[in-house]
Amino acid sequence: MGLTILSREIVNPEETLNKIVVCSLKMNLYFSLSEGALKQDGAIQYINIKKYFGNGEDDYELLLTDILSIQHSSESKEFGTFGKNDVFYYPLLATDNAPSKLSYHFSLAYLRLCPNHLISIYDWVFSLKDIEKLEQSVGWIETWCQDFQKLDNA
Amino acid sequence: MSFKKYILLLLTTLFLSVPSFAEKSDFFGKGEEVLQQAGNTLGTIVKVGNKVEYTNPAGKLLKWSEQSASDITNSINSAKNSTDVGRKLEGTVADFINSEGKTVEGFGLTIKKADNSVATDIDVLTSNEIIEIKNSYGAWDGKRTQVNRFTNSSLDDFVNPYNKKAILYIETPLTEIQRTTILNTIPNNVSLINSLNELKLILK
Repeated sequence: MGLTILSREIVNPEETLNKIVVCSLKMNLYFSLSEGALKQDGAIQYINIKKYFGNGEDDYELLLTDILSIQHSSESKEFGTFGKNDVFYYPLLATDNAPSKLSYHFSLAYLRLCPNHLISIYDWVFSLKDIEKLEQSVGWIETWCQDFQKLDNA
Repeated sequence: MSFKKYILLLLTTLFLSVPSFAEKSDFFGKGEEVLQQAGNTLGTIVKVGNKVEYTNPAGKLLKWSEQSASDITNSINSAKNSTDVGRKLEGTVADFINSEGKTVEGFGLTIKKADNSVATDIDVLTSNEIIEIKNSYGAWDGKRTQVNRFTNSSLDDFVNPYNKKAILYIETPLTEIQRTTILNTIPNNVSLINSLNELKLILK
Protein backbone atom coordinates (compact mmCIF):
# COMPACT_ATOMS: atom_id res chain seq x y z
CA MET A 1 0.00 0.00 0.00
CA GLY A 2 1.03 3.56 -0.44
CA LEU A 3 -0.28 4.87 2.85
CA THR A 4 -1.15 2.66 5.79
CA ILE A 5 -2.21 3.40 9.33
CA LEU A 6 -0.59 1.23 11.98
CA SER A 7 -2.12 0.62 15.37
CA ARG A 8 -1.26 -1.57 18.32
CA GLU A 9 -4.92 -2.26 18.96
CA ILE A 10 -7.82 -3.41 16.86
CA VAL A 11 -9.83 -0.34 15.92
CA ASN A 12 -13.54 -0.43 15.26
CA PRO A 13 -14.01 0.39 11.54
CA GLU A 14 -16.74 2.91 12.29
CA GLU A 15 -14.40 4.72 14.63
CA THR A 16 -11.76 4.90 11.89
CA LEU A 17 -14.41 6.12 9.47
CA ASN A 18 -15.39 8.91 11.84
CA LYS A 19 -11.77 9.94 12.16
CA ILE A 20 -11.09 10.12 8.45
CA VAL A 21 -14.30 12.03 7.81
CA VAL A 22 -13.12 14.62 10.32
CA CYS A 23 -9.64 14.66 8.71
CA SER A 24 -11.16 15.21 5.29
CA LEU A 25 -13.36 17.98 6.62
CA LYS A 26 -10.51 19.77 8.34
CA MET A 27 -8.20 19.42 5.36
CA ASN A 28 -10.87 20.51 2.87
CA LEU A 29 -10.79 17.23 0.98
CA TYR A 30 -13.42 15.55 -1.16
CA PHE A 31 -14.77 12.48 0.61
CA SER A 32 -17.15 9.87 -0.76
CA LEU A 33 -18.53 6.43 -0.06
CA SER A 34 -20.25 4.19 -2.58
CA GLU A 35 -23.16 1.82 -2.31
CA GLY A 36 -21.94 -1.54 -1.10
CA ALA A 37 -19.03 0.00 0.76
CA LEU A 38 -19.84 -1.80 3.99
CA LYS A 39 -18.76 -5.42 3.90
CA GLN A 40 -20.09 -8.28 6.00
CA ASP A 41 -17.04 -8.35 8.25
CA GLY A 42 -17.40 -4.64 9.01
CA ALA A 43 -14.73 -3.49 6.57
CA ILE A 44 -15.52 -0.37 4.56
CA GLN A 45 -14.17 -0.33 1.04
CA TYR A 46 -13.62 2.03 -1.85
CA ILE A 47 -13.54 5.27 0.11
CA ASN A 48 -12.44 8.08 -2.18
CA ILE A 49 -10.48 10.90 -0.60
CA LYS A 50 -9.43 13.45 -3.20
CA LYS A 51 -7.85 16.82 -3.51
CA TYR A 52 -8.84 18.56 -6.73
CA PHE A 53 -6.30 20.83 -8.34
CA GLY A 54 -8.04 21.76 -11.57
CA ASN A 55 -11.39 21.82 -13.27
CA GLY A 56 -11.03 18.61 -15.26
CA GLU A 57 -12.86 15.44 -14.33
CA ASP A 58 -9.58 13.72 -13.52
CA ASP A 59 -7.63 16.64 -12.07
CA TYR A 60 -7.19 15.31 -8.57
CA GLU A 61 -4.89 13.49 -6.23
CA LEU A 62 -6.48 10.39 -4.78
CA LEU A 63 -6.21 8.20 -1.76
CA LEU A 64 -8.42 5.21 -2.47
CA THR A 65 -8.84 3.81 0.98
CA ASP A 66 -10.18 0.68 2.63
CA ILE A 67 -10.93 0.52 6.33
CA LEU A 68 -10.27 -2.97 7.57
CA SER A 69 -11.94 -4.82 10.39
CA ILE A 70 -9.11 -6.95 11.70
CA GLN A 71 -5.94 -7.26 9.72
CA HIS A 72 -2.67 -7.60 11.51
CA SER A 73 0.82 -7.60 10.15
CA SER A 74 2.13 -10.96 9.07
CA GLU A 75 5.64 -10.34 10.32
CA SER A 76 7.44 -8.69 13.21
CA LYS A 77 9.03 -5.38 12.53
CA GLU A 78 10.25 -2.54 14.65
CA PHE A 79 8.33 0.58 13.77
CA GLY A 80 9.11 3.75 15.66
CA THR A 81 7.56 3.36 19.07
CA PHE A 82 6.29 -0.12 18.20
CA GLY A 83 8.57 -2.80 19.55
CA LYS A 84 9.79 -5.65 17.42
CA ASN A 85 7.48 -8.13 19.09
CA ASP A 86 4.40 -5.94 19.02
CA VAL A 87 1.56 -7.17 16.86
CA PHE A 88 0.21 -4.28 14.91
CA TYR A 89 -2.97 -3.83 12.96
CA TYR A 90 -3.85 -2.00 9.80
CA PRO A 91 -7.01 0.02 10.48
CA LEU A 92 -6.73 1.71 7.08
CA LEU A 93 -4.96 1.15 3.79
CA ALA A 94 -4.77 3.56 0.90
CA THR A 95 -3.91 2.70 -2.69
CA ASP A 96 -0.56 1.83 -4.17
CA ASN A 97 0.28 5.45 -4.74
CA ALA A 98 0.71 8.10 -2.11
CA PRO A 99 0.45 11.58 -3.60
CA SER A 100 2.90 13.66 -1.63
CA LYS A 101 0.81 16.65 -0.60
CA LEU A 102 -2.41 14.81 0.04
CA SER A 103 -0.58 12.16 2.06
CA TYR A 104 1.18 14.79 4.15
CA HIS A 105 -1.92 16.74 5.08
CA PHE A 106 -4.00 13.63 5.64
CA SER A 107 -1.29 12.14 7.87
CA LEU A 108 -0.92 15.28 9.92
CA ALA A 109 -4.65 15.60 10.47
CA TYR A 110 -5.11 11.91 11.26
CA LEU A 111 -2.21 11.64 13.69
CA ARG A 112 -3.41 14.72 15.53
CA LEU A 113 -6.65 12.83 16.13
CA CYS A 114 -4.95 9.51 16.86
CA PRO A 115 -1.52 10.30 18.31
CA ASN A 116 -0.88 6.70 19.32
CA HIS A 117 -1.07 5.44 15.79
CA LEU A 118 1.64 5.56 13.15
CA ILE A 119 1.45 6.17 9.44
CA SER A 120 3.49 4.16 7.01
CA ILE A 121 4.07 5.56 3.54
CA TYR A 122 5.70 2.84 1.52
CA ASP A 123 8.35 1.71 4.00
CA TRP A 124 8.79 5.01 5.83
CA VAL A 125 7.00 5.27 9.12
CA PHE A 126 5.90 8.52 10.79
CA SER A 127 4.57 9.39 14.18
CA LEU A 128 2.72 12.54 15.12
CA LYS A 129 5.94 13.83 16.64
CA ASP A 130 7.74 13.35 13.31
CA ILE A 131 5.20 15.16 11.22
CA GLU A 132 4.70 17.94 13.74
CA LYS A 133 8.44 18.48 13.67
CA LEU A 134 8.32 18.78 9.93
CA GLU A 135 5.31 21.05 10.11
CA GLN A 136 7.12 23.34 12.51
CA SER A 137 10.21 23.53 10.28
CA VAL A 138 9.72 23.42 6.50
CA GLY A 139 6.17 22.08 6.33
CA TRP A 140 5.21 20.09 3.27
CA ILE A 141 7.79 19.55 0.58
CA GLU A 142 7.41 17.26 -2.42
CA THR A 143 9.93 14.71 -1.17
CA TRP A 144 9.03 14.87 2.53
CA CYS A 145 8.84 11.08 2.94
CA GLN A 146 12.19 10.35 1.36
CA ASP A 147 13.98 13.33 2.85
CA PHE A 148 12.48 13.31 6.32
CA GLN A 149 15.57 11.78 7.88
CA LYS A 150 17.83 14.39 6.28
CA LEU A 151 15.55 17.21 7.35
CA ASP A 152 15.33 15.72 10.81
CA ASN A 153 19.11 15.66 11.11
CA ALA A 154 19.61 19.13 9.69
CA MET B 1 -42.87 28.23 -36.77
CA SER B 2 -43.64 27.57 -40.46
CA PHE B 3 -45.25 24.29 -41.48
CA LYS B 4 -42.08 23.28 -43.35
CA LYS B 5 -39.92 23.85 -40.26
CA TYR B 6 -42.41 21.93 -38.14
CA ILE B 7 -42.27 18.92 -40.48
CA LEU B 8 -38.47 19.07 -40.53
CA LEU B 9 -38.33 19.15 -36.73
CA LEU B 10 -40.78 16.26 -36.53
CA LEU B 11 -38.73 14.13 -38.93
CA THR B 12 -35.50 14.92 -37.10
CA THR B 13 -37.05 13.92 -33.79
CA LEU B 14 -38.32 10.65 -35.25
CA PHE B 15 -34.91 9.93 -36.78
CA LEU B 16 -33.08 10.50 -33.52
CA SER B 17 -35.54 8.43 -31.55
CA VAL B 18 -34.71 5.24 -33.45
CA PRO B 19 -31.47 4.11 -31.82
CA SER B 20 -31.06 0.97 -33.90
CA PHE B 21 -30.92 3.07 -37.04
CA ALA B 22 -28.48 5.51 -35.51
CA GLU B 23 -26.26 2.69 -34.31
CA LYS B 24 -26.40 0.64 -37.46
CA SER B 25 -25.77 3.58 -39.73
CA ASP B 26 -23.01 4.91 -37.44
CA PHE B 27 -24.23 8.26 -38.69
CA PHE B 28 -23.30 10.05 -35.49
CA GLY B 29 -19.73 8.87 -35.23
CA LYS B 30 -18.47 5.68 -33.73
CA GLY B 31 -21.40 3.51 -32.75
CA GLU B 32 -21.82 1.35 -29.71
CA GLU B 33 -19.85 -1.83 -29.92
CA VAL B 34 -20.99 -4.74 -27.80
CA LEU B 35 -18.49 -7.48 -27.25
CA GLN B 36 -20.31 -10.70 -26.55
CA GLN B 37 -19.95 -12.69 -23.40
CA ALA B 38 -18.97 -15.67 -25.53
CA GLY B 39 -15.40 -16.63 -26.21
CA ASN B 40 -12.77 -15.51 -23.76
CA THR B 41 -14.62 -12.55 -22.28
CA LEU B 42 -15.71 -12.89 -18.67
CA GLY B 43 -18.74 -10.64 -18.39
CA THR B 44 -19.88 -8.13 -20.95
CA ILE B 45 -18.04 -5.17 -22.40
CA VAL B 46 -19.69 -2.26 -24.13
CA LYS B 47 -17.53 0.34 -25.85
CA VAL B 48 -18.68 3.76 -26.90
CA GLY B 49 -15.81 5.71 -28.41
CA ASN B 50 -12.95 5.33 -25.97
CA LYS B 51 -15.27 4.71 -23.02
CA VAL B 52 -15.48 1.13 -21.86
CA GLU B 53 -18.26 -0.19 -19.66
CA TYR B 54 -17.63 -3.61 -18.23
CA THR B 55 -20.24 -5.63 -16.39
CA ASN B 56 -18.33 -8.32 -14.59
CA PRO B 57 -19.68 -11.81 -13.79
CA ALA B 58 -20.75 -10.53 -10.35
CA GLY B 59 -23.03 -8.10 -12.19
CA LYS B 60 -21.12 -4.98 -11.17
CA LEU B 61 -20.52 -2.21 -13.66
CA LEU B 62 -16.95 -0.94 -13.91
CA LYS B 63 -15.87 1.81 -16.28
CA TRP B 64 -12.64 3.09 -17.73
CA SER B 65 -11.32 5.07 -20.67
CA GLU B 66 -9.16 3.37 -23.24
CA GLN B 67 -5.72 4.90 -23.42
CA SER B 68 -4.07 5.82 -26.69
CA ALA B 69 -0.45 4.81 -27.33
CA SER B 70 0.67 8.41 -26.80
CA ASP B 71 -1.32 8.67 -23.54
CA ILE B 72 0.45 5.57 -22.30
CA THR B 73 3.89 6.79 -23.33
CA ASN B 74 3.30 10.16 -21.66
CA SER B 75 1.99 8.55 -18.48
CA ILE B 76 4.95 6.18 -18.27
CA ASN B 77 7.43 9.03 -18.74
CA SER B 78 5.66 11.14 -16.18
CA ALA B 79 5.58 8.25 -13.69
CA LYS B 80 9.28 7.55 -14.15
CA ASN B 81 10.01 11.09 -13.04
CA SER B 82 7.55 11.08 -10.17
CA THR B 83 8.65 11.65 -6.59
CA ASP B 84 5.96 9.16 -5.56
CA VAL B 85 7.84 5.91 -5.02
CA GLY B 86 4.97 3.68 -6.07
CA ARG B 87 4.26 5.64 -9.20
CA LYS B 88 7.92 5.80 -10.15
CA LEU B 89 8.25 2.03 -9.78
CA GLU B 90 5.20 1.47 -11.96
CA GLY B 91 6.81 3.67 -14.62
CA THR B 92 10.10 1.81 -14.38
CA VAL B 93 8.45 -1.58 -14.77
CA ALA B 94 6.29 -0.43 -17.69
CA ASP B 95 9.33 1.09 -19.38
CA PHE B 96 11.20 -2.18 -18.92
CA ILE B 97 8.35 -4.11 -20.52
CA ASN B 98 8.44 -1.76 -23.50
CA SER B 99 12.20 -2.13 -23.75
CA GLU B 100 11.72 -5.89 -23.96
CA GLY B 101 9.73 -5.34 -27.13
CA LYS B 102 6.37 -5.93 -25.52
CA THR B 103 3.72 -3.25 -25.88
CA VAL B 104 2.18 -1.81 -22.75
CA GLU B 105 -1.51 -1.56 -23.58
CA GLY B 106 -2.65 0.02 -20.34
CA PHE B 107 -0.85 1.94 -17.61
CA GLY B 108 -2.20 3.23 -14.33
CA LEU B 109 -5.67 2.61 -15.64
CA THR B 110 -8.27 4.07 -13.29
CA ILE B 111 -11.34 1.87 -12.92
CA LYS B 112 -14.51 3.63 -11.84
CA LYS B 113 -17.76 2.34 -10.48
CA ALA B 114 -21.18 3.19 -11.89
CA ASP B 115 -21.35 6.24 -9.61
CA ASN B 116 -17.98 7.47 -10.98
CA SER B 117 -16.13 6.86 -7.73
CA VAL B 118 -12.78 5.16 -8.16
CA ALA B 119 -12.91 1.41 -7.51
CA THR B 120 -9.37 0.39 -8.26
CA ASP B 121 -6.60 0.76 -10.79
CA ILE B 122 -4.63 -1.53 -13.02
CA ASP B 123 -0.91 -0.85 -12.91
CA VAL B 124 0.17 -2.40 -16.21
CA LEU B 125 -1.65 -4.26 -18.95
CA THR B 126 -0.06 -6.01 -21.90
CA SER B 127 -1.69 -8.17 -24.55
CA ASN B 128 -1.35 -11.20 -22.31
CA GLU B 129 -0.63 -9.99 -18.80
CA ILE B 130 -2.25 -7.92 -16.08
CA ILE B 131 0.32 -6.77 -13.54
CA GLU B 132 0.03 -5.52 -9.97
CA ILE B 133 3.17 -3.71 -8.88
CA LYS B 134 4.30 -3.34 -5.28
CA ASN B 135 7.37 -1.75 -3.87
CA SER B 136 7.93 -4.17 -1.03
CA TYR B 137 6.55 -6.99 1.06
CA GLY B 138 5.12 -4.41 3.45
CA ALA B 139 3.13 -2.85 0.62
CA TRP B 140 1.63 -6.25 -0.17
CA ASP B 141 1.05 -7.25 3.45
CA GLY B 142 -1.70 -4.75 4.15
CA LYS B 143 -3.97 -5.97 1.41
CA ARG B 144 -3.02 -9.53 0.72
CA THR B 145 -6.06 -10.38 -1.35
CA GLN B 146 -5.77 -7.48 -3.77
CA VAL B 147 -4.68 -9.62 -6.73
CA ASN B 148 -7.81 -11.73 -6.32
CA ARG B 149 -9.63 -9.11 -8.36
CA PHE B 150 -7.73 -10.48 -11.36
CA THR B 151 -8.60 -14.11 -10.78
CA ASN B 152 -11.81 -14.49 -8.78
CA SER B 153 -14.66 -13.63 -11.12
CA SER B 154 -17.25 -13.77 -8.34
CA LEU B 155 -15.82 -10.65 -6.69
CA ASP B 156 -17.53 -7.28 -7.08
CA ASP B 157 -14.27 -5.71 -8.22
CA PHE B 158 -13.20 -8.47 -10.60
CA VAL B 159 -11.55 -6.66 -13.46
CA ASN B 160 -9.85 -9.10 -15.79
CA PRO B 161 -12.41 -9.56 -18.57
CA TYR B 162 -10.02 -11.23 -20.98
CA ASN B 163 -8.63 -13.57 -18.35
CA LYS B 164 -5.08 -12.35 -18.81
CA LYS B 165 -2.25 -13.89 -16.88
CA ALA B 166 -2.08 -12.23 -13.47
CA ILE B 167 1.32 -11.18 -12.14
CA LEU B 168 2.23 -9.77 -8.75
CA TYR B 169 5.49 -7.88 -9.09
CA ILE B 170 7.34 -6.95 -5.90
CA GLU B 171 10.47 -4.87 -6.35
CA THR B 172 12.36 -5.25 -3.07
CA PRO B 173 14.03 -8.66 -2.71
CA LEU B 174 11.94 -11.00 -0.57
CA THR B 175 13.20 -13.25 2.18
CA GLU B 176 12.30 -16.93 1.89
CA ILE B 177 9.74 -16.55 4.67
CA GLN B 178 8.13 -13.59 2.94
CA ARG B 179 8.06 -15.41 -0.38
CA THR B 180 6.45 -18.44 1.22
CA THR B 181 3.85 -16.29 3.00
CA ILE B 182 2.90 -14.62 -0.25
CA LEU B 183 2.75 -17.86 -2.22
CA ASN B 184 0.58 -19.41 0.47
CA THR B 185 -1.80 -16.47 0.25
CA ILE B 186 -2.19 -15.51 -3.39
CA PRO B 187 -4.17 -17.68 -5.81
CA ASN B 188 -2.19 -20.39 -7.57
CA ASN B 189 -2.74 -18.79 -10.94
CA VAL B 190 -1.02 -15.54 -9.94
CA SER B 191 2.72 -15.45 -10.64
CA LEU B 192 4.93 -13.85 -8.04
CA ILE B 193 7.82 -11.97 -9.62
CA ASN B 194 10.60 -10.37 -7.62
CA SER B 195 12.91 -8.72 -10.14
CA LEU B 196 12.94 -7.32 -13.64
CA ASN B 197 15.02 -10.32 -14.74
CA GLU B 198 12.32 -12.68 -13.52
CA LEU B 199 9.72 -10.54 -15.25
CA LYS B 200 11.64 -10.75 -18.51
CA LEU B 201 11.48 -14.53 -18.37
CA ILE B 202 7.76 -14.71 -17.77
CA LEU B 203 6.55 -12.19 -20.35
CA LYS B 204 5.02 -14.03 -23.28
